[in-house]
Amino acid sequence: MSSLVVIMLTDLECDYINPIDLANTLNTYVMPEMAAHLVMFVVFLLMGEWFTVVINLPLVAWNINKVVNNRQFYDATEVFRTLSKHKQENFFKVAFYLLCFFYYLYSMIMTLVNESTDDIRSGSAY
Amino acid sequence: MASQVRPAPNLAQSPQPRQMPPQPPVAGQQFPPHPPQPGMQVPPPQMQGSPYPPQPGQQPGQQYLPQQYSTQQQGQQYPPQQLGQQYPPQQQGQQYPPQQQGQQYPPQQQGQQSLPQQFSPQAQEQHDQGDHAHHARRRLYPQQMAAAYSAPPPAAVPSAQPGQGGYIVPGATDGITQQMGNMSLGQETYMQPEQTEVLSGRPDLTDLDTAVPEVRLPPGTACVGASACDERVQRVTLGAIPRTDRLLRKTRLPLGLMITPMASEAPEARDIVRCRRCRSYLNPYVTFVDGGRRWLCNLCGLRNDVLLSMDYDKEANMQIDRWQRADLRSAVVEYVAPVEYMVRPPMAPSVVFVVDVSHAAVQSGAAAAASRAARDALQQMGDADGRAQVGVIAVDSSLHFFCIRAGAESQQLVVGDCDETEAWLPAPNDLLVNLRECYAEVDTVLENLPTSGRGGVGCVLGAAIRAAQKMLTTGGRIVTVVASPPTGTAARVDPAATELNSWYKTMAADFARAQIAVDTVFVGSHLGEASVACLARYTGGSVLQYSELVGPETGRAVAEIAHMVSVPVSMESVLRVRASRGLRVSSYYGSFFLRSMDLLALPAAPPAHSFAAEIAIDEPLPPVVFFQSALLHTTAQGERRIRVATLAVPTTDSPHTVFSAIDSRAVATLLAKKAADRVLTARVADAREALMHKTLEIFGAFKTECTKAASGAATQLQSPRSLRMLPLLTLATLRHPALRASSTERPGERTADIAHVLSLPPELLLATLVPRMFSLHDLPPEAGLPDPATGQVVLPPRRGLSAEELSPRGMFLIHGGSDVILWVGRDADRALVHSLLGTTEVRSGIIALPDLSQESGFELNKRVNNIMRQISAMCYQVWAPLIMVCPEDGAPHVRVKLAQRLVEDMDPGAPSYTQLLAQMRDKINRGNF
Repeated sequence: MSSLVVIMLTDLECDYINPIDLANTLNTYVMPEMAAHLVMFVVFLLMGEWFTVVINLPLVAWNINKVVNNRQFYDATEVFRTLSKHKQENFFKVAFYLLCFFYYLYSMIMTLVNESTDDIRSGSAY
Repeated sequence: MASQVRPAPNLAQSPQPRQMPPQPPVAGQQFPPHPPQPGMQVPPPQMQGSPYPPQPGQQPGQQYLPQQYSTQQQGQQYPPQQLGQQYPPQQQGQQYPPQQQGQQYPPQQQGQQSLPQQFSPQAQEQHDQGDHAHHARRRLYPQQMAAAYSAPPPAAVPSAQPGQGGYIVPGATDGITQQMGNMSLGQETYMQPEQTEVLSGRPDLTDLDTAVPEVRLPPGTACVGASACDERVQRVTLGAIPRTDRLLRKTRLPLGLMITPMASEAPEARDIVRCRRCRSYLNPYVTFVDGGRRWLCNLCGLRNDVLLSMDYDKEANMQIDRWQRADLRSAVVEYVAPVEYMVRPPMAPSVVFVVDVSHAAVQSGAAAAASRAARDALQQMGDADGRAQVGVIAVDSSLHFFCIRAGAESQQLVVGDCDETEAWLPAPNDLLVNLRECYAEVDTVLENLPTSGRGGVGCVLGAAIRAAQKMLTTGGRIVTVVASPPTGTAARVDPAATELNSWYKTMAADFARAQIAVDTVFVGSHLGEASVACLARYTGGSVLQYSELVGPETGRAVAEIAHMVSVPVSMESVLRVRASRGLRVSSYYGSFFLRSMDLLALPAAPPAHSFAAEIAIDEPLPPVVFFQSALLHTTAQGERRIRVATLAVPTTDSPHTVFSAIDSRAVATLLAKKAADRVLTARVADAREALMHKTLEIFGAFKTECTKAASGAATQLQSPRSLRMLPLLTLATLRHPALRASSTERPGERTADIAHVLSLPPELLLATLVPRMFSLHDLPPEAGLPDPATGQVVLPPRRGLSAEELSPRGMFLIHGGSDVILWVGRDADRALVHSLLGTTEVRSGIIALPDLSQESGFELNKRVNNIMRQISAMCYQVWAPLIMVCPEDGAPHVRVKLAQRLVEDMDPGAPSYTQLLAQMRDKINRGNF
């Protein structure tokens, strides 16, 4: 999602799309993205995955802060002024999501491996 | 550097040195095929095969020029009067021999700089300038520029030099030699004493009326006899641009460009010729190379093929002279755009009036004023070709549409249940009608407009502009007159709320795309102006604001609104700013929708709207840089036209040169626009502080870079001559209503003032920042009467803007563009008062100056009326100011207004001019600001 944002912002810089289209397209995804992230965060919280909760906490706080101040949407009239900021933010998000993805993958595999070793140890595999 | 330029004792005998820098790298002679040889006579290879073989009189290596110019000897590329200082052309051919990097210039070669024979053709032929000298000249360039800038005006040049232009510095022969010597020693030099000035006492306001400092270019930059860019159309803050970003940051100066595309008349050019790569238009600064078969783009340096159509008219079947092309002779031209520049047929001028007819609007007189203004505007519009379309919507808690048919009574359709999200029109057509066909009917509708509402409360503005958008299928203008806070759901604005309603911003973006401009007129205050004005700011519209409409103020509002509607605007326009490589526009200020990094979309561009561009330097610049703005627009006559303006500005490596060539009024304009823009997003106090800080930084940088007391304390504030008005202009900006600190400033007025600061051209903004004060009791005999030579009314001399100037025996007029104050002293001559006002009674309050020119004995009245008209004309007729009469012992509120306009004096929100200078000096001495 964030990579889409980055691509579109770069397009805007190169004059491939106009700011109104950009704002309309991106604004439809802003809230779903935040909601999805929040849902995941709540699931982690309920599962007691404390380390995951901690690494996700800053982004949740950042999103909530944006929504509270009503700054979450892209403004077609101002987008050029804030272009560099938006780009920076989204590059950061891309990196964060990517790292998280690999961490979750790693955790999942670890869990599976642990489960199977536990199975082996308990002898139920035989 | 400048201090080394001393008058040469033998100047009268010695010809001028080859003063001018080499052609900028964009020039066509960069790569001569051979290293230069003595007496070079052989045409260089690129001339071979040329369809235009050089004329007998032509020198090898020179640029192609048509026959008739070759009779002008060697300087074909240059204005004839500058011939005396040109490079002989064969030198042009040799200017850039294959580069020999790292070669040192031996000092003994310096003598060649001033070879005396260069003006005679014979001498030119035998003249040889070796590689060394080329390098030397190249290196000299910044110093020469410095010398040229700091030189005394050309008047001081001894008359022994015929054909002396403004560039050669007297005595520069010595100066250059010394510069060379000094350069090798790495000596630091300071600005000449006459270039710096100690700021103290009162400012000399006549400086504000002097001509804009001319941008001095190396000769040969422009084509023969080409006129430079009118400074009203494009004006740059720095007359010499720092070559690197580092130097620009060191000087702390703002680099910006003020563009007012429609400020002057432009000759019409024939077919459009553009660069293949950067898409810039042909302009007087391009160079023809390869025997005239190619032209070198001055912005990107690409060699473009010359089209056959430039020299040969196929239809008339005859040769044409390309040098007669308007786009090679004038820096500002207008093309009629062919079909490729249109996505649809040019739109018709269409206006929809959205007028608030709620109870509040009728009470305040807004509805009546709007009705009168709209009728006046339609009358003045002068719809020559009968294409204009008009529609009317009256708004209260419901929408009132008018179904207008020629020859029939118009029908009022009321839509009570309205919604901002989806507009619904009660009739499919007849809402937007042709003005010529239905003039009488539209006039009747507008006349009855104030009574068309039912005195309802509320103003569903959002639904109304949505409906207007639906009516304007091909775009046009919406003129809204609002006198009560907008109601509705999404478009509702709570007057007490500080936060903006972003619905209007979203709408503005939609309108910009649909080529609809919204002009907003507010009557009253606390109407949610800050939100609603976004409609105008992002669509190229104007904002007007009136606190109340009583007495003569109604007339003023009617005149101003009618002018705003009826003035011919450029429709569905886009403005693109191109600059030489290495320059980048970092931000724009004005009233527009930014569609991409360098493209401003302007659904409407009134002639009095200006756009400021702040410019950043990305990489080191060539010796001359260019800015080209192109406005593609549709005129009221339905023609698609392109207005192109090209400005050439030299660059420099020396901070001295930068500081000596500043256009302080343009700098102040840019800073004011930046400050006003900041008020939109931050607190007023922050914007004021930032402005003051910037001014301090500039003077601090000047002290460090260019004066002897670089780090120590100075007893007085030193300023370059070019910047001496900046402290006063900063002070005036801080006192402008848009930036005034006082909490009494109403939010509505502030919104309109910010819109003004952002969109006004520099001349108009300065007229409002620093009012003109005239003494009426001792008018010079010629003042206020037309000058027999020019026909322009002569303005009286400007007085200082301080209460010290006001003498009890006198009468003073303080004209600030949009407001005028008449101060009448206690002991003023009653006969004089009678001669001005037609009465001896002077009461504080606002009056319209009576026009008594028909009657005899009112000489002063006639002259003051002339002066007011002249200033109005200078201000593009944007304002129809009233006179606020202020007797010496007048009412307090009038005296407060007067005190706000006397910018040199102290004010609750700002220091006096002398205090400001002292504060600046102290802060700069301490080095913390």
